[in-house]
Amino acid sequence: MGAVAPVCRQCSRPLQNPQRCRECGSFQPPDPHRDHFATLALPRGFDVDEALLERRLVDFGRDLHPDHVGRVGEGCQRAFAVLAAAQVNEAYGVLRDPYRRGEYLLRLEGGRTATEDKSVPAGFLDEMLEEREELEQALSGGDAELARTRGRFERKIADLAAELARGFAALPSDGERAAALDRLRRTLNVMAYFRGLLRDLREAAHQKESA
Amino acid sequence: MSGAATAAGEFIVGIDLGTTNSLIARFTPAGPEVIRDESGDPLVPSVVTLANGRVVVGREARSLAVDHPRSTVYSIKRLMGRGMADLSDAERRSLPYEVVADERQLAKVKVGDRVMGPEELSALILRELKTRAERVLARPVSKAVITVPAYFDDAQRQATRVAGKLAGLEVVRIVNEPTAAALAYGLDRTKSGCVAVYDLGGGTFDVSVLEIRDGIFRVRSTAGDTQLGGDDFDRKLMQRLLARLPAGEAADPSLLQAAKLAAEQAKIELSERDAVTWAVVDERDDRRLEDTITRVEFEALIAPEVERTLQCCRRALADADLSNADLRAVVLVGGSTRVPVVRRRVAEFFGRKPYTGLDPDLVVALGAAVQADVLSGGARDLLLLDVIPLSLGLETFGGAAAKIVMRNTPIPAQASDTFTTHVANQTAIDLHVVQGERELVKDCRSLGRFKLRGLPPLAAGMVRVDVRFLIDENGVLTVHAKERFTSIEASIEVVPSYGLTDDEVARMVDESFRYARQDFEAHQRIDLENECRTMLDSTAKVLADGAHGLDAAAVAEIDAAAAQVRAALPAAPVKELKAAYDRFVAATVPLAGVVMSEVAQRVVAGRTVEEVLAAPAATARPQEATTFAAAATASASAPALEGGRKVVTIRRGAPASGPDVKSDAKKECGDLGEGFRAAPAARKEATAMKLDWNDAEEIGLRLCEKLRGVEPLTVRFTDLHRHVCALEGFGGDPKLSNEKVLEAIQMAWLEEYNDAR
Repeated sequence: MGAVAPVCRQCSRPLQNPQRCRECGSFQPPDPHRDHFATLALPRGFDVDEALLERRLVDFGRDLHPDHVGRVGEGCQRAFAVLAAAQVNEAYGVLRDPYRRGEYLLRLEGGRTATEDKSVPAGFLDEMLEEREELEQALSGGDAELARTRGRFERKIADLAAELARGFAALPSDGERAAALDRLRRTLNVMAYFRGLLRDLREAAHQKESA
Repeated sequence: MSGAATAAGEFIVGIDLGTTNSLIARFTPAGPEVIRDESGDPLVPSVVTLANGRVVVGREARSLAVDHPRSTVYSIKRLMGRGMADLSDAERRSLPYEVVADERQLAKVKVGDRVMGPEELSALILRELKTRAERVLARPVSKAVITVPAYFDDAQRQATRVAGKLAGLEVVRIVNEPTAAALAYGLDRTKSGCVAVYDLGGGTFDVSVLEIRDGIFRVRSTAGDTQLGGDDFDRKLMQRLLARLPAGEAADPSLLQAAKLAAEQAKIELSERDAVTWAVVDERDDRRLEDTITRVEFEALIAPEVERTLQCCRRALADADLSNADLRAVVLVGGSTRVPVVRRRVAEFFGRKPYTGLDPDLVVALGAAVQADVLSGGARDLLLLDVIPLSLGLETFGGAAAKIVMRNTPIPAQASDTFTTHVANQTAIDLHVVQGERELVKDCRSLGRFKLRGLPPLAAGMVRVDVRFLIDENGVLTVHAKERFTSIEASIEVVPSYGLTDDEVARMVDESFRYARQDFEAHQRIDLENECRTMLDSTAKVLADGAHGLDAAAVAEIDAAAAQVRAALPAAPVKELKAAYDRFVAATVPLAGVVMSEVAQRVVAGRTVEEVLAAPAATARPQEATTFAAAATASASAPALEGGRKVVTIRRGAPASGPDVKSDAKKECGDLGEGFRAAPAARKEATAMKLDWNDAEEIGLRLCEKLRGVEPLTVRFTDLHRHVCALEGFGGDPKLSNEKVLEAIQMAWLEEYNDAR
């Protein structure tokens, strides 16, 4: 990524928010090539500072939300505000979620995403069946068992996220890159599977709670 | 931010347009405030009666419900933006008014002999709120934030916007009810964290999970059911009672209305008591239907409905990715949360005592006022990030719905997806935009269709069409489609298919004016009929005492004119009735003169001139009376006018007391008839003196002259008020006008306007 800080097209002062200048209030021309990381002024990568991400959503939301741009006699301003705020919301939605963030990085790399190619690592199919069985057992067991299984799934997902972070941080730049991306895609598919298990477990737990 | 130009001082109100009650609120420096009527009542029951050609809204309409079951409409919110197919049979049967389908199978209501859309009926409620605010605040109200259930779909939101437009309000924002409640709840900055808002109203249920922090209100998820509320509790009670009717006998509309009102009351009492006995009387045969129900029985009766709300709560929590432990509070909103079993089950479900520090009836309107303040440039540090309640997508091959923007996505939002052709050499693609969570298009709501033509003729699956959805802060969707290789593109702003093109809205606005005219003419007729009856009555009373010295010809003339009025009363057009009435009034002028002089003689008998002049106004002011009826009122022997019936308008031809008053009372009274006949001349004279609010006819004439060509019925009261105050020679206190006075002026103006044409 270019390290040059963008400047306002109107007043040439540095932009804290790439879509609107805080100094002069001008909206910046839409840039179709600006990726979600740039939209939120974050460095591109799998590791995202969550506190910073939240702060960006709020700060940029205040800059851009149409409610705060005013309603009268600013048709063009409002249209910019809607587009810019929609972009911030979309970027936030993608970057907050480790799975979608990984998918997005794969797409930026130009290869296939995990949704497009659902292959998993060799041997994982057996593990899938075992995990599913464990989930069924937990559901018929007590609260303690549910909590334990839930904790295990959550830890597993966190481990996979750490693995993805390491992988994306150390992407080789040579001919090995495609193979590395393949591995990351498979890891993402494993993560998707555990997320599905966790969702099922939560829903079942909710059902049980209210019964 | 320096570039944010906001029109300062824009006045926007917040409106909670509820199933059972509606409220209007504003933002003051001290915080949001509900606008109450003169007696301090914040609620306007969402009930409309169109009886005898008059539109009555609110409490009065409620009291008319039993007598006018077919022309009293409540719970109209349930029909907003819905088609006949959306309504269950049970739902339709329980409504005492008739729901009919229009040519597009949309639900309308038959009120008397008129078919009205739910948005038109809602507009009448909104107009009532607007008038209340204008009266109380003495300033025009033209912009509003209106709340809707979070789970309202696009058609229902659109219908709400149209209702606002019909009521003369610019709807600057539609806000979700639970979100509005959260705004009111979190206004004091101490309450940060995640909250669940449980909103059970008269007809709808919503639950929203929000995160509140540093003035940021972020909706995390929302779920609900637009056809579930306190109404359903009432219906359950009603069904239990009506089951006591003999087999095969159906309840008539009047009984249904009575049962509905009684059921509501019984439900409210069951919140306080362990058992309630309630009854309605079937007026057809005076049979009494009675039911005793314990609270336990009632709770069992409504348990399925309460369970349905909890299922929504479960989904909202899962969508927000939160558990009960993550919540800081559960806020109760909506009148139906007063039902003890609702509170108990909610407490059990969330594992905590719900927060009830806010009046569940007021909180939504207060929140709407908070958002209105934000939009008028007030609270600049408050930021509301709301979500779309239902997923949006496109129809794909085989009738499946492909979701493009998922429910609970924050707005403004954008998302895109790529589609392709299914048939070789297909050169056009039909884009069908749908809303809903169901997988098949037929189960979702259709929002609109458009076509992308001129695609390159390629093998199936080779064409790439990128479709982008953009949703603005109001939830309005724009869809843009572009073919990747040829760059041909098409886009639409999706106005729901239900929905009303601009032309249709314009037509409805026109109709609302036309109906306003009809209502108005009907209203005029009623007043005129009353005047006629009063006149006929009092004339007959006076003549029963003898001829009062009139010759036989004069009495015969009065009799003949009276007969004409009687003949015209039942059905003649207003114009004819008015003509007959005017002739009758003219014929009675000599009699009025005689009676007035008799009255005056009684009053002045044995008194000095000074005593007469100092006498209280109520005794008799002969010079004020210009018609016979007025003379008869002054007469001590006019019992016919007791009981508060309306008397013909009295025009003041001269100041009430003054140097012109002659000592010769008899002569003064004798001039009375002259004064009446000379009325047009008196008008010209009146220009020299100060006009007051009561001088409706004169003001009407002047407005007609000044605003030539302006149709009086299209002028709003606030504008009318302004026009009147701006009249030359007007001396009334601007604060002393009210709806009745303005209505009289508008009527007088209309009369002049119609005459002038």
